[in-house]
Amino acid sequence: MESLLRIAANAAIAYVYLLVIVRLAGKHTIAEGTPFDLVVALLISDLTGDIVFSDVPVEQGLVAIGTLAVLHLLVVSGAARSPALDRLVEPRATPLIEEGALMHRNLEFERINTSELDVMLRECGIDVRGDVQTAMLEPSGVLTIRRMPGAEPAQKRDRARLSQYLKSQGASQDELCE
Amino acid sequence: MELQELGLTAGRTIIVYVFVLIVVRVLGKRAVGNFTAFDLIVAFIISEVVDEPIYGNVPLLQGLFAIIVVAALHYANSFLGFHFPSFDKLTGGKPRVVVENGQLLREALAAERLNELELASLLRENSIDNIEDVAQATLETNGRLSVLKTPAARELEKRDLHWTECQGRGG
Repeated sequence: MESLLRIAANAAIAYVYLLVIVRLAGKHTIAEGTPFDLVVALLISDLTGDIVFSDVPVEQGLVAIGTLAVLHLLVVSGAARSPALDRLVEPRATPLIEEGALMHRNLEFERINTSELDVMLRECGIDVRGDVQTAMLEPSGVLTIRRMPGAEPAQKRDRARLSQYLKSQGASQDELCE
Repeated sequence: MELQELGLTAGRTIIVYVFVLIVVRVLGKRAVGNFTAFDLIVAFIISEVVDEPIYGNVPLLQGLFAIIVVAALHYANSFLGFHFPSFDKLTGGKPRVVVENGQLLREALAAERLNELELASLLRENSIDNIEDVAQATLETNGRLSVLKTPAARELEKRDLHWTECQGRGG
């Protein structure tokens, strides 16, 4: 019974401590979505488990978590200010397709084969590689694309051009409304 | 607990942090989360190892060594997968088409243990409410469903509108 109370007390201490740290660190630190942010979040939760079960003295756990959080905060805010540090801690976006052509060396560097690339393109709604002008692998590991001219999504302003065209073809107002 | 030991804990935390940063950087963008379920599990393994060396329950070098071994295995896995497609299929699995031309492929669904309600929910996440709009839906190796719509159901593209300018480009 006493040990259950111990677990509850430790969990409560760790929970409040983490809550304070995450709030102080701000949104942009732990949830930014780069692979490294995820790993840091996982490291913190790993360190917390030992506190809860009294595998380590509570104060030692809090010091470890605090050090990790402060260090990560320093690195992230430093990277926001210094491009050199940013390049060190965060990969840059890598073009995988440029001007419609596959960048084979970049694919090899990222160890993404063409079938994996096709998977990522399908997730962007693309089934023909020829529709892609540029595809970038972002630091978060997500693929972003720019479509070829013509294959871009149509916008509301394109509608005006369409009705202009139809008018020039002699369409009546009734036909335009259909 | 002595102040000195707390200081050592902080020191070991810093070393582990820098070390893990290097490992994640070397593994590259595909290391974590966005690819296969296995990539995510590797991230979990790497971070699960660190508590012991940080708290001083195992020697620091031993902890770092364990991380290197897991990272090296994972690097080798993706390296071999890139160069040998058959290895990739062996370790990563194959994407499986579950809807084709608006038709459910029941055998494929059964093979992926995906029921129709789950499929409907995945389709809704892709803004599809009518299965007839689906030209092809594929369950990818990362567990997500990718959907290609039939030509009639696709979002309008610029080439669909001013087709006179785009003639000969297959608009």
